[in-house]
Amino acid sequence: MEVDTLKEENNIDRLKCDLGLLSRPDGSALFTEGQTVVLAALYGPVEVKMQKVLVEKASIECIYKPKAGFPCVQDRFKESFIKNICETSLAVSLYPRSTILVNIQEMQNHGQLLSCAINAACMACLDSGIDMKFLFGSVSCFLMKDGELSLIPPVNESSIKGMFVFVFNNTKGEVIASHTEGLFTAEQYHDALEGGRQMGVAAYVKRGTRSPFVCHLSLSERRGGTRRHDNDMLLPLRPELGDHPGYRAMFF
Amino acid sequence: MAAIRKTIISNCEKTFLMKNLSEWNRLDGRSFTEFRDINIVFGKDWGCCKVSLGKTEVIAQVSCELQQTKSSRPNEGMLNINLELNTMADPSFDASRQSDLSSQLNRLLEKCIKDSKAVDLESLCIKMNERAWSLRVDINVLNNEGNILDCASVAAITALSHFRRPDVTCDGVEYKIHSIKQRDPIPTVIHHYPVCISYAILNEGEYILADPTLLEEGVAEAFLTIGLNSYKELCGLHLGGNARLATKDILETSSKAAKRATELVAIIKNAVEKDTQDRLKLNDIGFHIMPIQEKIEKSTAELSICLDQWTLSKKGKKKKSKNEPMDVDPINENNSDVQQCKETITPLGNGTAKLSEVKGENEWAIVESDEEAEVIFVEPPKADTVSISDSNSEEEQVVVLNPQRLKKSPSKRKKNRI
Repeated sequence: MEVDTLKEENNIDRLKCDLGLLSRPDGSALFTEGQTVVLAALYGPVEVKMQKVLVEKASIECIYKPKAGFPCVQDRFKESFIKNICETSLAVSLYPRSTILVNIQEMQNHGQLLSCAINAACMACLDSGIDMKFLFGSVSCFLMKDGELSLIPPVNESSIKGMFVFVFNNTKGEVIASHTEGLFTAEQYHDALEGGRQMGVAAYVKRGTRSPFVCHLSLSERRGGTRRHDNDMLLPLRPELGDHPGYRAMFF
Repeated sequence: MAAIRKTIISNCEKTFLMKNLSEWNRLDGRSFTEFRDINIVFGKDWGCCKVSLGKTEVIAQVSCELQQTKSSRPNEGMLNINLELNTMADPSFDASRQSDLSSQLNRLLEKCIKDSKAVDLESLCIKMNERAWSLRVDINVLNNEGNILDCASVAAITALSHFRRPDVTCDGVEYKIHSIKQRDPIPTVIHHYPVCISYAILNEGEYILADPTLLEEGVAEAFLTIGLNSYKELCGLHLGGNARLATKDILETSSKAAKRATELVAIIKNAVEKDTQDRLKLNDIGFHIMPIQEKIEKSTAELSICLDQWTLSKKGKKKKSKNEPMDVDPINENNSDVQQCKETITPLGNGTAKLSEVKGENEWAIVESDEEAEVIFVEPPKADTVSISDSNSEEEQVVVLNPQRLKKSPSKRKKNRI
């Protein structure tokens, strides 16, 4: 296994999440992965535009905003990627004839933009208290020119040969989406997948008990039927909360 | 198509706001000329900053590219300011369509920063009639809690003054852009720092509120936006809506705005200076190390505002009870009653509860006999009688509802009167 250079603890330290930063959206999350920062905000279910009405389920709109310049093809791709993930993971059939707006704002880009955006979207969904079938977590894996795999983006961008982004769900740890860039062999892909599954966000989303953010989030689940949580929720590293009953109750 | 998902302000909210304003109170505890706190955080990249004005938040990023110079101005670079109203900030905003609000805000920003020639465009020219830098400021609104314009103007000018463009050399034919690692980037020349300062005008010019919140913006009849720099030079003035505003009021407001502009510019310059110092020390800077604890302080600060208001209303009542010493005892009795016969919550089982009213004599009924309606307050349990020797009035007994707060009261009362 080539990905063994990383300790899991290091990985947890590199992830940071702050919930409920914005007052207007129903749920918002600032997700930090290393030096990549993405802000996600979710409104929903809200009034739907006439041309987007679906009679049997909620339509999902994902809006990705780059920090500078107009949205380009890559940004549109990210939108559709995140939209597809949200469509599978949210319980959309509970909200027919409505829409769920998932807004993603790039804050700082240091390589892992897509996986960070996906994680931020998941956290925003959780913060809003919207019904979900499962949680999802994403991990980026970088293939260097010397054939080594790393979960941390290298300082020198030109040394990257390929990049993999995997999205896992928390129920069975299955891959629900994957995206690749660059050249690689099938073997390298499987190695990266395995590495991502073991070390990445997905690993602790699935286990729950090890995840700093998922654990704490479980406590914020819809208290007394209200959609809003306290705005100053912090996400400390508290693995001991993993077995909180709220956790089991919320994530079926 | 009518605006979708628009937040409608109810008549109740409107009347409540107006009633509070008639008592010279604002809902968030500010005075009419007070602004919300501004906070500037810089990102890792040059020319990137997040500015929050109260709960309104925007992020600005400056980017640059080499472009052909305009034939009308062959020796100048270009500056574009683009404010995006995202769905993130407000569900009624539509990023794909140009709304009236967004074009108005964009034009005002342009007027304030670009037309006031705050940025030295000539220094952006590389070769006359050939190549010049084109700067672009992208401002994304993250959270709309009113007064986007002030926040965006601060973000734009902060990002511009923070921005550094890469060095470029020309060998006669080809232009070579040196990366930041190869050569030190060059800061932008800023002649002066113009900022927009907005006021909401309500009730036909009777109330002029600085830095309006979302609700105040919704109720307001007109807006006065003043673009100013720290030298008190006017860089733009816009009066929108329909209000009968006297010339005197505009002049008065703009002199107040000038004071605010000076403060704002000092804040901006300090923030940029501090960031430059941090970068020189090679500290790690960026959104990824934003302090999370900040928010707790904020929420307690909000709470204290509520409490301030609360003590104020109580003090008003205390004065009244001084004038009517006969009321004092019944109130005291009521207080103990109130504590005992409140409604009780009986748990019924898994996650459900019943709110049941306790039968018996209604505590409100006794209070009804008093002339003053304001005495109907559920008081904290620590109600207590204390005699105040230094009071000038002839009464011997005054109800002091919270003895600890007594010491602060004179200064606070003064403050609130202003």
